[in-house]
Amino acid sequence: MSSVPASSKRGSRPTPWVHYLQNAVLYLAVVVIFGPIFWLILTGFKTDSAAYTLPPQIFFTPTLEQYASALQSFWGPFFNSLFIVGTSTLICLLLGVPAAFALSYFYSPRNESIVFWFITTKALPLAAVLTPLFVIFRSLRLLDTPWALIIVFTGMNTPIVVWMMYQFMKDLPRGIMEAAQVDGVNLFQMLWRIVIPLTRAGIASTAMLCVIFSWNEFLFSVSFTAIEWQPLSVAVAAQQTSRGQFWAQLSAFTTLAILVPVIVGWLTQKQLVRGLTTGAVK
Amino acid sequence: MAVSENMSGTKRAASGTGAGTRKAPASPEAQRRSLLYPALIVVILITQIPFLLTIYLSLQSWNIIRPDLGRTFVGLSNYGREIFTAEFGTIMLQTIALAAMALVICCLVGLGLALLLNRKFFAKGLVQTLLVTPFFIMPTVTGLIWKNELFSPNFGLVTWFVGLFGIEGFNPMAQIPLIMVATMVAWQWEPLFMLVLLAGLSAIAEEEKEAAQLDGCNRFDVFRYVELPHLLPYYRMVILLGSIFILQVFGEIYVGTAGGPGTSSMNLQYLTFQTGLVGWQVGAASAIGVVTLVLTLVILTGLLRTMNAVVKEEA
Repeated sequence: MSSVPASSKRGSRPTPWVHYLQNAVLYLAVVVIFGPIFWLILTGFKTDSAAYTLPPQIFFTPTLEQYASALQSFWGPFFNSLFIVGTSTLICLLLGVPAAFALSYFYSPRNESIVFWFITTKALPLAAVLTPLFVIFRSLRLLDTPWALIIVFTGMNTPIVVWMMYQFMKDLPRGIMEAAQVDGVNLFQMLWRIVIPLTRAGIASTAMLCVIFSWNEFLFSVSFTAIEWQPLSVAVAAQQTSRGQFWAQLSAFTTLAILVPVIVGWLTQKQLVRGLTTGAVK
Repeated sequence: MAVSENMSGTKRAASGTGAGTRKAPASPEAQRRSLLYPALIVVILITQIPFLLTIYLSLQSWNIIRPDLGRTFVGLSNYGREIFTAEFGTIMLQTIALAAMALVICCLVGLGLALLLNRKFFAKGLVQTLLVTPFFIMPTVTGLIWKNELFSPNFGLVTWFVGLFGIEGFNPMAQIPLIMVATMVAWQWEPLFMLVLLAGLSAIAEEEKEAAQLDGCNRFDVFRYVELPHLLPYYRMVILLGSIFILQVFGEIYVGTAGGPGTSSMNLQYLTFQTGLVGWQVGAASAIGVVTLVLTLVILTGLLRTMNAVVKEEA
């Protein structure tokens, strides 16, 4: 029943005011969705009294004193996070990339179901393994060491590496590898010289996803560490209890804590979707 | 060179054997195993074996900080005492309600934003980047933002804002804690839904939509008959992936509401932590963990079946 002139306009672009209305809705969504993060960053530059002032102040004289005091308690947990996340991500790649290569390169009728099995391990709720892991780490005296978290993050993220890298490697042109094989390249050279350089972007985005997931993980982190090796996600929760009254300082600390995953995420958001969706959507 | 996929697969395996015998003694199958098994074994060791231990521990009575009480085999009594209680039932329903609310918000908001983003407009890249950001934020930070910055009864931004309209005693974190946790979770996971649905939308050929418009479809018809059927597989994927994580919310609750008031914003993950690592009841916590797994698998299987049926019907 639509009017003939409207539909006969080829590729009918929406009228300008619809376009601007849609933009306005989007910009409003940015304010609602990104606003809380923006405000958190802003609060970190306020004095303590300014942070509590109502109505909220957008314009104020910024100060770095909150960052100065937040940094004192920041470096410890930051380097803990860096070490734990870095080591576990490295191990995940060392295990997952060759596995994905094996599954995409060698033909076997079971390959698809093995890849699927890897991803189903993600459906296992952390709660279902929390107590035995705690008991095991306790008897091995690994509580409040980086190793407990490195072990569990490796178990958590290796399936993601296998899953995503399998999607990237499956799409590689066969011809290159077959030509290399004819040239007598061995398996290690094939992986190191051909497959890994070709899937560099995929490996980077997969690694970044591991970094984000393990940097932000909280249940295992709070269960298996105490004071010595507490990572940033736990430190944020601890600061909230101990410095809840110093909101500006807490904001500065929190801003520092989210810096790494946010920057990493911004850099890789496009690759991320590709790795997650290809193959999962038929 | 029109070789079918299966054929080329066999050929590949065959040529692999040839190369293997010439260059290295290992057969392709042995090579495949040597690359695959380390990852396989590590994942089994870290994720599957502990679960078997959970089942074993769930049959014990064991308070870890009271070694004097010892560790005794109690059969299924942990399940009887912990699971068939009104409190557990409520928390189980809360887990489901929390995930359902968050998923519905994610599906709707994600779709809306994806449709709006799938156009050309000023500062598109920046808008998309800012909208994705919550996905990279720590759950504990989300809890902190909600509890302090937005909804603090004293200085929260939203509290102040609704106060302008004369609303007093606004304290949703205490009044409707479960819904507030759902909004936190939705805020964190909406970007994933938006990105995946946007990937789906941008995969639709422009000609297909134009053809539909030439046939007299309005914007809604184009959505209903062209875009939505195409999006269903993307929805299936993102709902499954999202549910896995959304069923296990923890950090937002821990910092945002601490499960309270009472147990009114707890989910099973939080209850397991509370029982095992605050109450030190290892046996009881393990029993709750086992039930959590069963419930998760039932929900995920149900979702998968439903969505497969929907996708098939529309295809």
